[in-house]
Amino acid sequence: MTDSGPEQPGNPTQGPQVEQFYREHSRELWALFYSMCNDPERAYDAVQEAFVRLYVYRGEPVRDLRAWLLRVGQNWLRDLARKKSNSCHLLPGMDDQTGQGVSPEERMALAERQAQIRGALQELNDDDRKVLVMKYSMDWSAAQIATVMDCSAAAIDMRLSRARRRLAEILTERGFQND
Amino acid sequence: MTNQSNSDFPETTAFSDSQMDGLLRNFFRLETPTSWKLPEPRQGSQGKSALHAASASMTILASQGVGSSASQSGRRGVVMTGTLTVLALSLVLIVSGQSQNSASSALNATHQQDKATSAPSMMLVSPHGNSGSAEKPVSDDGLLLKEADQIQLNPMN
Repeated sequence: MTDSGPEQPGNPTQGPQVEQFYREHSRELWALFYSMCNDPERAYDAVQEAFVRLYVYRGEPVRDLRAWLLRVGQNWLRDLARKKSNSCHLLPGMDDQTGQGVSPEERMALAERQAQIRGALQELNDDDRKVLVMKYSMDWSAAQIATVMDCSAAAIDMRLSRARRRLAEILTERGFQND
Repeated sequence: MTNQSNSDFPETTAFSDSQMDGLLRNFFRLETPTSWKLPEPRQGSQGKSALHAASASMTILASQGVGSSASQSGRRGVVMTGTLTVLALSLVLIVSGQSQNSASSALNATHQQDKATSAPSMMLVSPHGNSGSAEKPVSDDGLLLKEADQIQLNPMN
């Protein structure tokens, strides 16, 4: 909380602008935060936190909203990691399965499976994880990812392939069963 | 390149590339908060998702991109609205002009009719008809119209 967000108050950012930006970019921000923290709920909180801070921000005009929000969310995640705050949060997929006739056992198995893959993703280096998140969470093409990662689409394809292979190796080592 | 064959993976892994592809898609589908879930990908539409536009603005200022496209569509909207307004106005003018003409002609006809009905019927003052001149005699005894005008008519008791 200490180093997140610009320090100066007084911002002209209007509500409708923020809302529009939220509609267009919140998911992308979530994916990027997810690639940083490997936790869907925490990434979601980071998005909310960044937008709340933007809403109340009264500093100098924000010229690049996306960069500003990324910085705020990233700092918030960093602060959280520093505090080692492991507050209780929903297991991934729980809200999705609620009320859909899924038994508690199946739900637990699903949560376990998700946790295993998440743990394996954690083992990857940052760039490999980021590439996988952009590819599978955002459904971006190699060319789109290449724009963000500042490299060629061919390099992204290679990195994607390598990241998948490395993830497969980790999952195999951990005895993950693909049903 | 993304969907490589099984042979690309070393034998130490229990998963093929396509299996990993499916596994990761499923994993991220469940990981993504419900409100942000993407529609199921269609065949051959990879990279053409709704977020394609969002990604295009990654390298430019998002607000500028949104602003310029909004102003372009706004300008187009203004031109369209203007054209439609002009067309509507001319239509109104034509229709009102036509109705005015028909109204005035109807009015004229009514006026003529009124004039015809309300005009006093002419009374001949001379057996020779309307002489058109005060100097012509209006009776057999040679009475002129000029003289007839000066006849004082008094009510009879």
